[in-house]
Amino acid sequence: MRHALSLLVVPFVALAALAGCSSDDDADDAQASQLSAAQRAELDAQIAELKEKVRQLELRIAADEGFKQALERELDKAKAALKAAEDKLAAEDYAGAVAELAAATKALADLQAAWDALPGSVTLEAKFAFGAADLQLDTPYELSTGKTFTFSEVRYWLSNVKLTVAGGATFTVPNAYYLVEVMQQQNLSNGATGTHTLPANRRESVVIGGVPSGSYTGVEFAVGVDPVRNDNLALGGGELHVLKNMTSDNGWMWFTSYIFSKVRGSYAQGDDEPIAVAWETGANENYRVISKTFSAPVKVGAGVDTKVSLRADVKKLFTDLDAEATPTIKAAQAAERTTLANNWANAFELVGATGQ
Amino acid sequence: MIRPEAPRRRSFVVLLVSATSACVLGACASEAIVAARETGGAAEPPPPPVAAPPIPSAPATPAPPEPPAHFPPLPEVPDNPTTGPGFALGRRLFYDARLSRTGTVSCATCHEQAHAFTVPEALPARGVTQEPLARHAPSLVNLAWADSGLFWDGGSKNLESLALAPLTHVDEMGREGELDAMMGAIAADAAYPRMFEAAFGAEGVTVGNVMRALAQFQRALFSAGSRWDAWRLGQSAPWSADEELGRDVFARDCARCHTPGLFTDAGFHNNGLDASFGDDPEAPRRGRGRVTFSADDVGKYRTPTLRNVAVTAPYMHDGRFATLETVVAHYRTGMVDSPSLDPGFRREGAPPGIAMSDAEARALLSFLDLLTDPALGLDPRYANPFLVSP
Repeated sequence: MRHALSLLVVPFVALAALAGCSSDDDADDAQASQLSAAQRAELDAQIAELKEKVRQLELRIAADEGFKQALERELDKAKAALKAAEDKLAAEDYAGAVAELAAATKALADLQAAWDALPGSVTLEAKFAFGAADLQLDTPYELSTGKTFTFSEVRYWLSNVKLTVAGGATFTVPNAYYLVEVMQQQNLSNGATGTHTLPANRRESVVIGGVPSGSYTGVEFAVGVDPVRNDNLALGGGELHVLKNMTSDNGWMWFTSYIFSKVRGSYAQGDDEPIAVAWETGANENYRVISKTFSAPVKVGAGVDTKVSLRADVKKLFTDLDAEATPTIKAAQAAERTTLANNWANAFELVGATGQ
Repeated sequence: MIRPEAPRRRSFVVLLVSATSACVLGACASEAIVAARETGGAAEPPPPPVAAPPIPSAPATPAPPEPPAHFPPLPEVPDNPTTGPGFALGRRLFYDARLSRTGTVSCATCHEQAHAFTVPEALPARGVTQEPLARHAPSLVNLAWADSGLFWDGGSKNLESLALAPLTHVDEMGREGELDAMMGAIAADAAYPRMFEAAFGAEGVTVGNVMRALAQFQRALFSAGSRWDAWRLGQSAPWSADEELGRDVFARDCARCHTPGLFTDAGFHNNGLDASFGDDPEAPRRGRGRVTFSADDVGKYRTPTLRNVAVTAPYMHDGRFATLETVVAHYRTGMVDSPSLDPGFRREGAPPGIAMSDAEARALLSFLDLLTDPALGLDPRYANPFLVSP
């Protein structure tokens, strides 16, 4: 009995002491029957509390198919012990009830520990913005030149996400290649036999699963595709694919590279005919890594809603670039591509990171 | 079955047809190849016959061709090692005109086996639009060692990635924005799904695996059955005096870039074809400069292999020289200077070029004839599978 009691967690210490008294061989029945109504109510309350904990764990396990069966077995043990505790309480076997409660408590503590060690997920959001406003397509925005720019498409590969673990280690997200975009429907076919279209889409966040539980202090990611994948278009990985209209294209045809980023829109100057603008980055030298440190560490784990919020301020893409002088930036515009890639690196600001 | 491309030169039609009928008859051309290889000195076992009759139980896929033993070590491709099933799949895709928008153009349309996997026109107009292309089709032999970039300007980094350019080019195979339609045609074929699974497992029919298979086939296009190889292996009959002299001239004047063995240094050079290259940074005439955007690289092109050079006219990236005589004449007296000209051609007190007597030039041409691999055009392992099996 003493051995079993030592395993009890703090809330049960008082009850365990109580039960310890009741287990003396010579005064068992007499002392047990002296359990006050208040003490009895406390035992009932503890049973109810553990039942609620079981219920919550059941809900969580149901959402995690991979661990479901193993965890359910542990949970069944706890439920059986709880049922036995109730039965023994009803039969006024207080010592037996407390022992069963101890068993149930241990099963639940083990289960909770296993659960806490489970990997969690992180939502990485990078909302498109123009200055202080959320970016909308087909809406004229005033640039520092006083002229306006109306976006029809912004797309980029967000890749190679790494999370900094408190203490300095790094978790590298495997196969982290995501296409983040806001665009209208695109018809890709040249009209002869295919009718391939890409649907209108606004995708500003990615959900990264399988992140080891723990405390994290920062995030790193890239705009573009690393040289290993970029130099071999057959490798793929994550969402990388050559059918996304983000690969060899007009102007990149003879050049092995993904298109790292695309901006399409029109640049208006007073009453003049608007200028169609197509700005792209690509090629290994345009790969840019961005890192942000959280203001306070965030927790990642099963059942924790961890979110990293960024803003991608596309107004910053216009720094040192003139849409009128350079309406097209593709493979051939190497200098402007470098400026544009640098602007992408500077476009992201950390709004916040939360996780509890 | 796909209707095969009609080869455009009558002489090669004869070659192809004779090879094909030999295979169909069952004896196969392999005996002729063996004979040719014995005289050529390549110490390889006879290749397996291709035209195996249909057998109810799945026949084992032959291993891919082995690299010539006297070549440099084969560079490893860890992401896409060549396998028998991958080579067989790549070969079928290479010859499959359904990959093009019109169903009429395959890779082999501009890379014919009978021409060492190039074609005899300067700027082929064999694509879906029949428009002449910007560049001459390069030979595809021994590309396994081409590790400095592909295409004449080196813009493609590997054979896997290269496939996308001709597939999507509007004048070549015309699949821009239509690769999904191409994949639909491949997936609907009776044989492909099984072949993709054999080559790449459960991942099956994907664009990435099309690119991988095409690369495996091309990476195994070895050409090493020339008289030069026989000499190199100590198995040749004596050379003529002209051939001997030509070898010395070659070593003195050509081997700097056309390194014997692969007969290319895989480098990029401006060999004095043009004096200026225009202002458009994307123009094809910028050469390597179109890829690197560096003024130093303007007008440079990848050194082509000289293997099979005597039978792969015309010459240069744009096919401007119709004969080898013209090429040699260019190096002797036709070169023009420009800032990126290869400094090895510059001379004190003379325009750029290579000093060579008429006798040496004739001898050099004799030597270049020794680089022809007569077995390549008949090798059944590289032949159109739509012609030799149902």
